[in-house]
Amino acid sequence: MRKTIAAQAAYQMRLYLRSPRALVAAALTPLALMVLLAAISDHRAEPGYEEWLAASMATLGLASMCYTTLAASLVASRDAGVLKRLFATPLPLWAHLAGRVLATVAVALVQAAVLFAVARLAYGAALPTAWTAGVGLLLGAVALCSIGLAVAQVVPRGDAAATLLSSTLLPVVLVSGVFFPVDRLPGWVARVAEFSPLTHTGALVGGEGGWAHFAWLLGWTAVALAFTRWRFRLEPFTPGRPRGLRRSVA
Amino acid sequence: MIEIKNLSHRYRQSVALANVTLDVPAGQVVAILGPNGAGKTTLVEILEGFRRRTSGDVRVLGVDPGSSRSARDRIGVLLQTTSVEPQLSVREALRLYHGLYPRPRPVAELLALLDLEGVADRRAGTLSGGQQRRLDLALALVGRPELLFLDEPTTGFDPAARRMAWNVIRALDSTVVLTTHYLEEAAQLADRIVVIAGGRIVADGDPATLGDEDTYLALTNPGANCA
Repeated sequence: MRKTIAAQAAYQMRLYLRSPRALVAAALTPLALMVLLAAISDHRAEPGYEEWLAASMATLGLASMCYTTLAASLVASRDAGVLKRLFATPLPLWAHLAGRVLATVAVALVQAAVLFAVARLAYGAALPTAWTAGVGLLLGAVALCSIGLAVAQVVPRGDAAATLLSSTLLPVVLVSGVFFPVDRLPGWVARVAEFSPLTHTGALVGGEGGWAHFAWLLGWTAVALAFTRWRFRLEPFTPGRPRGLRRSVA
Repeated sequence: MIEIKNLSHRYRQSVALANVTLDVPAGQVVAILGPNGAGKTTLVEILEGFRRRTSGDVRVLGVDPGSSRSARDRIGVLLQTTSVEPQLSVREALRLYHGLYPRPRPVAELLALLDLEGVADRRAGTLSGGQQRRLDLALALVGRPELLFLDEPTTGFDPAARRMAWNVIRALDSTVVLTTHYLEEAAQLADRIVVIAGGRIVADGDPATLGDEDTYLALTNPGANCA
């Protein structure tokens, strides 16, 4: 089974590399924002600002790769009839999804590494060295991938994917300490931020420890995977057709 | 191979299949014929395991396709719509599926069989409709299936490609269930024709008696004769 998942991951990696624009956009956006914010932010002179900025932009990069790109790619495959066809083979769909997640997490981690390297070289930002930062990146990536898989099940088809994915991501990013540190958020926003997986990913990557952050990320992963399993769509939703096919991924 | 007893399926408002009973023995090539919306694809999708039926008993290769995927490695499927990632080349798609079956056919053999050698390194998204369909057929054959479901296999083919696909299908030793709109296709390929209209089997017999147009039209559109 390990070989099967590896083959599926290689296959997903090949798909990503065949449409490199999505990868480049997912990698360049946080980099470009980092450069801009480092130049214009009022807080840029404060100690630790560069480290905070690098951790924040790494978190944003994870979200755009693991959430947006993975979900959009899954929806595109579903639109192309690929998921339905794979269901008719001996391959368990969960192995296919695991391969997709694996490839996505690998790309996201490479992007984060590039971002930290640029922050180090350009701004002299200290690299995150705590083990919790590394595990936080990994668990954050897995949680965001899981949420991407779940949200892909409520996206009816490809033409709705871009709007749905970006309009769900942006407000979450704003309340999650990516652009404004969580401890400076006003009362109710801070309470909302507590629920966001990005808040906990960002905190861990930024060097904060604490089991609660891990628990939040694992919880999100579990809930998102359970939802994916429950509502998995093999076909795009077509208005006028009685029902899109939904099958358990088992 | 396939045993269907009193199979019914309803969508919210409408009855798609009503009390269908059908046995397909090993080695038989059965064509399921009927007008659009007759229930052909619903029937095949239930047999393939995509849809859970409303009621009735179904066994495919001895297992219930609604609850078990254990016979998947012995079944080949050609869906009505194409189903390959457009960024993959023909060869890559075949290799990928090759890796999913226990005793697969070699990729080179499939490329030759379906006359895809010339486009083996083209991306699936750039193929013509007929080439894409031939790739779908190659993917259906990669696992050396005992049982093959072909949902409108030659739609979009020019006459030469259709002949070629027929020759390929005829040379198989699998049991085949195919749906089609083309009477000629059913007559050419099938040992047996099952005509479905309005979710019911209205005729079941050999191509010699059911394969002509007048009989077919009378069966699927009985009102036409009264006019």
